[in-house]
Amino acid sequence: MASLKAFIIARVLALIPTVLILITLVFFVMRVLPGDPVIAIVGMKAPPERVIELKKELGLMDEAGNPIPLPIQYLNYLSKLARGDFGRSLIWGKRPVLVEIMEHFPATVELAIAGFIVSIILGLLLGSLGGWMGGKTSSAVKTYGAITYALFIPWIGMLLQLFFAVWLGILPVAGRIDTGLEPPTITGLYLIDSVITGRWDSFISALRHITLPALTLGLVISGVFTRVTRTSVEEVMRQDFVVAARARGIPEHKILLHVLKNSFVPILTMMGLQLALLMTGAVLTETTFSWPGMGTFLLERIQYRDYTTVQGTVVFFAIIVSLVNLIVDICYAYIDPRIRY
Amino acid sequence: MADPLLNIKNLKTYYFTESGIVKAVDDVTLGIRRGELLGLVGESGSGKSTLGLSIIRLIPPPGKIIDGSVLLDNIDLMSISEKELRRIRGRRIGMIFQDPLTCLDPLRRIEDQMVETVMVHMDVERDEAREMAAKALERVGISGDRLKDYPHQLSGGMRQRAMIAMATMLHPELLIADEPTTALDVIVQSRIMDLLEDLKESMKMSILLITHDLALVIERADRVAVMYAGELCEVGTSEQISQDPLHPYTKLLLESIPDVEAPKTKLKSIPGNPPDMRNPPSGCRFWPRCPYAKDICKQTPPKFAELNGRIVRCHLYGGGKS
Repeated sequence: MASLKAFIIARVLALIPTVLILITLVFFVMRVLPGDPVIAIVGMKAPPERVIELKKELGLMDEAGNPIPLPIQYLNYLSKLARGDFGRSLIWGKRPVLVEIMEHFPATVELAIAGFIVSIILGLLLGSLGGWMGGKTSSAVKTYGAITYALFIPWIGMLLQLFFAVWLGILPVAGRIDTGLEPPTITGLYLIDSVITGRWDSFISALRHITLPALTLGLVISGVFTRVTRTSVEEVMRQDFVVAARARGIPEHKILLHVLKNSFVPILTMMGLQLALLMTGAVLTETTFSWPGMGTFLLERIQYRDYTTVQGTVVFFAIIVSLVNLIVDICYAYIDPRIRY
Repeated sequence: MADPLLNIKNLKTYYFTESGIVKAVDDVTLGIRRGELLGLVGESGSGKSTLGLSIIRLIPPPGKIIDGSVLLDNIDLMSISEKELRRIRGRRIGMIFQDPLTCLDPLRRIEDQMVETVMVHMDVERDEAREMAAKALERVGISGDRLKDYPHQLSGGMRQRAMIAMATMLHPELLIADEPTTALDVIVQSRIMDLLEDLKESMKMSILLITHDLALVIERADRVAVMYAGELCEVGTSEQISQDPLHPYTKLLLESIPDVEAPKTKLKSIPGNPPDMRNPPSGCRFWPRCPYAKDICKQTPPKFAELNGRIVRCHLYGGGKS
């Protein structure tokens, strides 16, 4: 399918300026923020030599001790990024930022995927049920969507913790896995790694730990999916081709497949948009459940004024979100032939 | 009636809307003969499309078929199960609609939609179904390689042809065509009508042509049924209707057809508006707009009267007695 290929190439090319704009924004916003990173790190009473040393380290001053102008700083940062160099952390042994990100990223991916799966299952199921049945079912589903969307993650997270972990005691309160059961790192996703290596005790432990955070995240995001799925299914149901298909004697279960496929484009759009919510949601969920992912990591480094790490993490998030949006776009074109231009 | 295929008897389809009951089809009795093209004419909201959909029980809620029967070879389509009816839809009775773009699933190739229809009704392999689909397309004048196209890749006329191919693929005995040419320009319109007539002849199929276009119906149909405000006014051959209309509504409809031979006359229209269907006038539903209205018309609904083999529902022709 030549047109699909052309579409993908065009989209990948369009990604370059998007990412560039994102990086630029992050870079300049970090400079505009109040507070001097150097003073924040070394303190007001630090000796001048220490301040200069740190400024050199941060790329704010050249070797001769002259301040580097902002545009040059920006270009230097870009050229480093292009080589995959996200800089080094300002604290804790000055480790490369990318290495630290990669240590925390899999945990977030695992939580995000699990939460996403929960929300998709809940959203698609309830949404299409409401759309297909109409009437009172539809209203009930509508109410569910409004309530779950309004839920505050730490609040519902704590309620679930209280109920399942404290009262019933059947699930762990927090954490990612029981200490000592960590599977060897292959993908970094505990659930997958433990299956690959056949360590079932690790798998069970990881699954028990991820249940509550995934449920929390999934529940909140499912509200939007339910709403979009319901309205979309209802709209498609009203279209003439449904009557036309019935007039050809197509049985209802096959018509439902037609309807779902046609409802899917707006749902997919919403999925793309929800990714941002998924990321912020993951941050809140992670802090509620002490989940050792990007959210917990970012929050911790913000508190320590670890500017290079914060900047690197935000840029990394931005690139990931753009990439996922690209994948969503390609999915559209695959499902709906009218989108390929 | 000579060789009837489908008999609609006392059919009533009402819409139960929040603001009242709309009697969209009220006590309609009509027969469709084998191999004929029966035109069903009426203005917007007269219930003609509802009648078409009622035949295969596809009335959307809040609509409901209240009473009556529709006999297809002595099978009452109103009382058989949904499953049995599904075997008749698409197989023995096909239906095409006004806007072929919205009536085809936009995300699936023409082929998939046709093959699906074949395989629902017949126990055949996919390849065989595909061959049948290609043949059906060629029969309506589209080359078989367009099977791989999506609906949006076809032109308006081609789409309607594809719809017709899909609806006639399994050689139905009756094709219900609901405003099949309204969305098309005049030239394409006449080609589509030619195609429908050809298919009618070659497949010995009956067609119920639902349209607001009386001129088209008189030109193409064997018989014409005129509907007003949910009721049938008059049924007759095209010739009878065009040369000697009986019902005042038919007469006024005919007069409102523009005459190209005499271009200078002003376009005539029927005075007044169609009635509010939630609250139709008592007596004959047409009396507020009828130039011949008498006192009886305002009080008693007329009944069908036979007049020299024609059927008309009007007090002018003794409709009150029978």
